[in-house]
Amino acid sequence: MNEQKLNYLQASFLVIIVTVTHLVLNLPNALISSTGSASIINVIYISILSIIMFLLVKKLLTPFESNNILYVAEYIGGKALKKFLALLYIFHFIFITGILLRSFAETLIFIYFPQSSTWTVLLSFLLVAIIANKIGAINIIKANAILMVPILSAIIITAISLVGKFEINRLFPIMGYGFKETFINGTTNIYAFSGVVYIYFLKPYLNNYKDFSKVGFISIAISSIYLLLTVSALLMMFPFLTADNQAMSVYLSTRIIEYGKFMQRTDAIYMFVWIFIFFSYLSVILVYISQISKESLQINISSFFIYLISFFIFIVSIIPKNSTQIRFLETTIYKYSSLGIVFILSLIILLLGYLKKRREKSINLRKKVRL
Amino acid sequence: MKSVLDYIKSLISDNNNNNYQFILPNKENYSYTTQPEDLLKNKKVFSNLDVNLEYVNSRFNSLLNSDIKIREFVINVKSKQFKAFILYVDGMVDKDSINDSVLKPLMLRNRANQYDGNQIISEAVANNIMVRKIKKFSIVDYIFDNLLPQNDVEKVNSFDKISEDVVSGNCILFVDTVNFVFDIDTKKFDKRSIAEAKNEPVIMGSQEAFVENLRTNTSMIRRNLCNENLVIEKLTVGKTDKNQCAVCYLKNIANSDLVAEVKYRLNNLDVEYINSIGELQQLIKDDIGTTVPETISTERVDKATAHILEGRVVVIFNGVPYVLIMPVTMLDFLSSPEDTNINPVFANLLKVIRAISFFITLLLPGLYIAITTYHGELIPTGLLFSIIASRAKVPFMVIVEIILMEVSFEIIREAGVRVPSPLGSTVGIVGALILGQAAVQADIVSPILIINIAITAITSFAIPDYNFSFHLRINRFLFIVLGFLAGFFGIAIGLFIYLVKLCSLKSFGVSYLAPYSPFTKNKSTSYLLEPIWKREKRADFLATQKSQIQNHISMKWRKKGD
Repeated sequence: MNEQKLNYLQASFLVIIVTVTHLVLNLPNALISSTGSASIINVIYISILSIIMFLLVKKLLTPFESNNILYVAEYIGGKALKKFLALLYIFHFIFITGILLRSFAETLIFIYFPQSSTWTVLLSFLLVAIIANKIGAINIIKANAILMVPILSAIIITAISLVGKFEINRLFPIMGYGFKETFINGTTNIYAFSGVVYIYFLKPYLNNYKDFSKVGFISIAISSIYLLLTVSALLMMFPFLTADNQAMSVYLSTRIIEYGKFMQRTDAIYMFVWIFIFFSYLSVILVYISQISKESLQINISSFFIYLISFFIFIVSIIPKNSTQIRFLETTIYKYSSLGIVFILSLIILLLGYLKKRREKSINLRKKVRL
Repeated sequence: MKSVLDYIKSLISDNNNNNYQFILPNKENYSYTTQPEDLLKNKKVFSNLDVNLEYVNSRFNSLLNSDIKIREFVINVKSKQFKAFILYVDGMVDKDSINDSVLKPLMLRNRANQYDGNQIISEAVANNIMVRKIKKFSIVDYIFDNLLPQNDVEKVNSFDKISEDVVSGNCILFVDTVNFVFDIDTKKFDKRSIAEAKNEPVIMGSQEAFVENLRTNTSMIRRNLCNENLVIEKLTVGKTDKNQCAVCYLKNIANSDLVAEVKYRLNNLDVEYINSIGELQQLIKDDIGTTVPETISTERVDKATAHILEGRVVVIFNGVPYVLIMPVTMLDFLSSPEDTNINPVFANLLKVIRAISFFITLLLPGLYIAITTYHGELIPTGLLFSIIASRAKVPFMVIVEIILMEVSFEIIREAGVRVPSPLGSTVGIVGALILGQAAVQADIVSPILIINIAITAITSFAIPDYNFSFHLRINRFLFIVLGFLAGFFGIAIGLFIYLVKLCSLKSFGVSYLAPYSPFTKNKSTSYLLEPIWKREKRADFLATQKSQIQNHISMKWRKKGD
């Protein structure tokens, strides 16, 4: 087996880790606050939309065999478009990661390290990601695949542990704020699956590029299940959640979990697992950025490059001045930048590539017929 | 040849010179590349016996060495006489064998050496004339074919090979006019008899353990693994101390690239000497930057044999009662030979206990410090108060307390190993019980910490491999510091980097976390054992030539009624 290439499970987990990271932060919160008691229906709806979107991506990438979106960009617009798209993605990743890092670090400081400065915690996270990247990209991917088992189990255990505290009444009214909010405006909630963006790049790195559809379906299915699980657990637990909550909503739910008299406060254990999620996420993002840079900008991936990207993430993470700004960036800006880059721009590029390929094919066919 | 003779003469004259002058050569002017003894290297056997004798005297320092024996005599062959001598090391040879199988047939008059006829190769009669084809007389062939009734004789012409074999216990026969020697296997020396495995005991398995002698060890493997495909290749490691080691594998099962890699590494060790299997283990390791062992050392014959049958390679090193198994994965360090001897349900229970022990050994003190310092809410309030109360009179910070106890325990453990065995238990009792009790009463440490350290120590003994257990003990200190600095956050930092590092490790090309990373579907190699009838395939990460161990239906007797 080629150890530098990924099998379909490793690739799927690379996509899932992104969704899971958003899950333990404020994504469920944002979904519930936008669609109210219809969140479950909305999650099912956006899951179906994501699968349809993936089918479309799959169809559009089919003529390009084992190539990814960067190749398609080069195919339609030359090296300039390829570089532009790569830079856009890199900025998007740095921005999102910086904001998420700050959000998570703030929660950690708020709960455990009130005396510590923000930058110490931020640098600790980045240091771990740098060390992991120095050990090797493929090793991060392997570690991520191993960590997925306890991470996904922990989320299921959280949901099961909360069952006793569920109030079914909170699911009603079933249509929440109405049909329009759930299905028309709620369509924008598809950004919850913005982790799908990584699927665009994965094809060349797969052991067998035909596993691409397997990777897409597994990652979207698992992400949907976990999104549904988290959203429904929170919806049935808390009477009212807004996007402005200061602490992570999933964390709030774990604070009320009890296991008999001995373990009355287990939130630290869950937080322990989430720290791993974040380490894995950060390291994986650095891997993605490195690979995109190497592929499209012909940058030699050295330690200096890793430091530089980490530095940019750090700079972005210290930009927000307070929690309100963090929440705004984490929900609103992230939502619209994801929709714009992941779901609109990328699809347009893939569509143009597909059409150009078809045209080229038909021209070739006509030439052959004439001959 | 002249220069060699001159050198030999100068050496002899130096030896006879009583003017003792011990002057160290000036290091700057002294060339280490051409040592005087280097002149004696790579020499071939001379046809002149006197030259050979002088050369041997010089090379083996026979005038100084009391155990290097040279016996000169005359060989009777076909009524002709040839000067000869034998060379051997006293104490390493079977003297009876030399007398009976070398000296007697060569020196004493007997039918073989007195026969004066010619050896007829073929006979034919043509026109009433008998034509006989007679073999030309050759002293070498005659001695080899008729006068050395020994089962293992080799013709050798290199002095380097002669040196190697003499010090291993062979007897070398030099004959005048012949430019090579007869290398005769006459090894016999005192050795420890086969005993029970002391450091890896099992209840239901074989009790046989390896000994220091290489040939005894190879014979034990050969006896346990009755298959003609078992290959035991001999290699020499070290330049000054040419120690022998043997590479054992099943020719039709082991991956040929793996075997080649093992031999390549062993053949490319540019070292003067290797004293132990531990040194060899370090010299053939893939990743030199970690304390994680990448080969298993075992004293158990059954364990070595089982691994050869799985398609791995075993290296035996002469002089050490341990062998090395390669490649290995992390799960191998948590497995015991006992596992396959008992019911898989029992074995799996033990395996789960060992896995728990792994985490406790590595993390318990770190978690204790993290919980008591940062995450007090995790434990019930009553217990937390009890811990705080027990620590109230302790003058140290919790990290100082815990490191003090850990270091004390390591000292007790080290002292227990080093003292003569009758005193070992006394050290344990005095160290652990009396001092522990006194330390608690003197309010130097808290009782709960003693419990913590004791549990950690006991669980470290549940790890079957000594090297791996040591690795966990060392890394435990790291997690203590991380737990103290940042609680669970610190421990998560350590664990994540540790995991990524483990993912990067390889043992002879095999991923250290196989079969879980990269994940393989072969259940026969998963950590928890399947019932024996379900273990149908060999580990796919070993890429063996034959993957099947048994048929889908191995218990064919069950089909009797069909």
